Amino acid sequence: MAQDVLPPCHAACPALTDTREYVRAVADGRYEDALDILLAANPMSAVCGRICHHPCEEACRRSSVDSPVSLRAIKRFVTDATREYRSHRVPGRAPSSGRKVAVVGSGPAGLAAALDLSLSGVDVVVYERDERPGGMLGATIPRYRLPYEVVEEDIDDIRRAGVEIKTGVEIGTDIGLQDLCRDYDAVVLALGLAESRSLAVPGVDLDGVHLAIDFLRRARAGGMERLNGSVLVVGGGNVAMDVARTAVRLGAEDVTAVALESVDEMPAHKWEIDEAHEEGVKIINSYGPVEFTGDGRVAEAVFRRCTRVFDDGGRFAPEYDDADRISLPADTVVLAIGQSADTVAIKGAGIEESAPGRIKAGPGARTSADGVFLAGEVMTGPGSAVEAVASGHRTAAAVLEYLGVPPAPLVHVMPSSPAVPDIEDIPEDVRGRMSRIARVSSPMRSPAARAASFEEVEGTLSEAEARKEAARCVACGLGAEVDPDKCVGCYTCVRICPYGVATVGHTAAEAPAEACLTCGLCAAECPAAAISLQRFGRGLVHERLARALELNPGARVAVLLCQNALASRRFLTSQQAGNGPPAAIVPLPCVERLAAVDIMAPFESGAEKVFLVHCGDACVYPEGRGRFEQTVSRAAALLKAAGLRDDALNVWFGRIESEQDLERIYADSTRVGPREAADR
Amino acid sequence: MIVGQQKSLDDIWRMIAPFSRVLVVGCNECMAAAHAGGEAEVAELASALRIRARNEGRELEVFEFTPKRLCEPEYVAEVLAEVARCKADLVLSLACGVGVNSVADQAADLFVLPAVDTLFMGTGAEHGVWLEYCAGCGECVLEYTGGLCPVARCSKGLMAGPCGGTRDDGSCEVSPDVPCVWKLILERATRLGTRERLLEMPLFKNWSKSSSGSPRRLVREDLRIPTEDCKEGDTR
Repeated sequence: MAQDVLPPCHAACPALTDTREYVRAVADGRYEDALDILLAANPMSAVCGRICHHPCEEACRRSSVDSPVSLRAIKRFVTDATREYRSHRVPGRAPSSGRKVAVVGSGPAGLAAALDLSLSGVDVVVYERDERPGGMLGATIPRYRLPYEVVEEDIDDIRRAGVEIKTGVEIGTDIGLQDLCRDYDAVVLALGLAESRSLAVPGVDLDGVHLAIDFLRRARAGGMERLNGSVLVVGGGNVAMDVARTAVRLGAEDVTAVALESVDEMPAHKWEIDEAHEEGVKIINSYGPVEFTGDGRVAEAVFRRCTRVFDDGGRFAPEYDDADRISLPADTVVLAIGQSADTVAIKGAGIEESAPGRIKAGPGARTSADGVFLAGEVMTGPGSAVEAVASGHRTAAAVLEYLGVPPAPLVHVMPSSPAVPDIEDIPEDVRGRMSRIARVSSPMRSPAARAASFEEVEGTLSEAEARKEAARCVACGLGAEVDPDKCVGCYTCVRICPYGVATVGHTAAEAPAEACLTCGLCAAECPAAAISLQRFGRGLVHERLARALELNPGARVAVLLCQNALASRRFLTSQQAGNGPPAAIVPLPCVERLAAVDIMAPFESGAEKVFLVHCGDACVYPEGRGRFEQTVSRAAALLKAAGLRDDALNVWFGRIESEQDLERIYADSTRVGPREAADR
Repeated sequence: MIVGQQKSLDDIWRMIAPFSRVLVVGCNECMAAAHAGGEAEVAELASALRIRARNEGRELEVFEFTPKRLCEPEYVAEVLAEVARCKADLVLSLACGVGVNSVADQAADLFVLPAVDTLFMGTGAEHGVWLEYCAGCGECVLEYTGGLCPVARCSKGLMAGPCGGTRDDGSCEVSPDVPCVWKLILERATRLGTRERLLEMPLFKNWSKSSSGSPRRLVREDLRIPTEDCKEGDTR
């Protein structure tokens, strides 16, 4: 019963990040591996750890039990915790193919495409008209959400992979597109949507009426003057929220966003709206602008009620009630009603536009000009950073095909059709038996503190928090696997499964992937050794014990511990617990999964004492604790019969937050003896 | 299923004293279901032996092998191949007694010892509890007793009703853990309206068909594959 399923978090990521695996790597304390997993799919992982709209979390199957795993926060923890490792990380490039590609635009789409091409042995130059690369990430996304140093972390990595970035060069002005087409084998236009749309309403030219992108760009560059009085933001999307929150930080006394859409229709993410609210932004829904008035400078804005935004076909076709009007005082107005591409790059190059500010894309991201490709929002329309990355990957694949260059093994190959998760929701009866575990979210500064400066609003999870949160992942699809050749159909698994998941079919036991929570009690108890867990194979204890003994040869003490008990991975590399004797520290995904023979393994290797560390109340499987205690007693009975001292096997329950806790393992563990009723 | 229980480690240790290369052999059928000798218990016993050997400073190599069963000659052949591979001087069997006999019959020069006490034919009524349900008496009386066996489940093996020692709570006077099967038989017959069937039970039972007779043997000529040595009608 192979359970090679695609978890919903993985499928939901536009760039198809292997979410489950990086979370697992965090739980294992392998933060560098986690970073490698992240970067394999998404070179803008540090950025996305800050600003991603995290569709992975929306898809998390834990949502039906309590709340989704804080995947974005864990991702951010990984990129923050591995800066040193990353700074030395040089992705290997394929040998030079002799081909050259120019990428226009250094936003996430252009950079992702450039990276894939460079890894495949193509010489890539990225042209950026701004003085620093990153596109909108560096130019308009407010600093309080995304400090530029974070953007640089991702870009440095891409540079190390051989991508050259030329800034301050505008294609169409400084260099013609035809020149690029002549000098390079292919050109990728990743222009983004860098222009705000304006409105054809009276008064739009008054002083004090700004376009959102210009406003954000100036604010980000520190060139926006302090604001006074009332600021009206026209729009209900994420850019409108960025503008409104920026206006708050620039000193505006009163910031109101007026959205055409109703509350439920607003395109801004709910958390952006909530955070804006917390910072004092007022939102008026279902009104559209009629005119801006004032004597040279805007003073008032008039809106009319929007009765519906979309027609029956879902197309944007607003209808208004002219009789229902409101006038709002406005010292500043910012229009955040949508963006278009700045197509100066293609002027006169004979490339077809599908509409003003949109370039026509053919199959394989091709434009109407041979060898000129599109990537990112200029092709897909407005989207998120991670969607731009996905688009960049796809375009790179198309360019490589056009050039006849095979993609390097490190290149993230996107499937042609959308990924569909092949695991159902956790069944209701299973959910009912699961423990509710509080989600650990990123720390946020207080709304008042946030509103007062451009300092980053969100913090990074501590290592302890990230590890705790990673433990909430139910590792979808990595549960029990039954070897039908070994299974004897004895019903042991069915009888002990705390979640009522295991069944015995016609040929063998089964634990359906969508229902199995990967606790592993069945594997520990199966008398035929027919069950193993994908995330906790039958050989894992021996493997990790051998590794611990390599670190500490001759250790006479072994500590088998639930890695979820560890607030930090530094305890894993300890040579000893506290002031105790040298110890082989063996981290495991869970100690409840241990079979008696696993517990005995260190004694075979010469240990005189074994300490089992159970994560105690932090356990995500409290339902299995009784079973664990029975298994330990059984092992104790066998060990006693084998002639070991009564204090050979010890158990400690609790989290290890400090070196003192490690010492407490020795001091406070409970000695385990055979049960009274044990049969030998 | 056949139910068994591992012998104590002390007993096993005493048995294997003369040997230095021990192949622990399990059975991944009945003895696995009985949590006495499946692959997991083989690993546990092998581990315990290694630990004890280490502890006592004794040279002992312990190997593990768990075929599907040990009660057919073909499975024994697998075991013998494994014996040769690891140069074992002892097969320590966690199969039932059938497995031990099978090995002994087929390998005249090989030591084979039981690490399990074979107990009975029964059911795994719940995790960790097994009950004897059948004594293999050779002449089934369940048709008269409503499916509940007095041979296997009456402490005294009575064939004609309860002894009179049934306790108030319905348990047997011999052991409070054992329900009086005759009480159960009567209650069930009453509920099903079949009490008169009890009177039809033969007055005499042919115990020579049980293990009290000579070793039992079953030959099905309708199934048997004829060979040169084994002609029709030959019931060796």
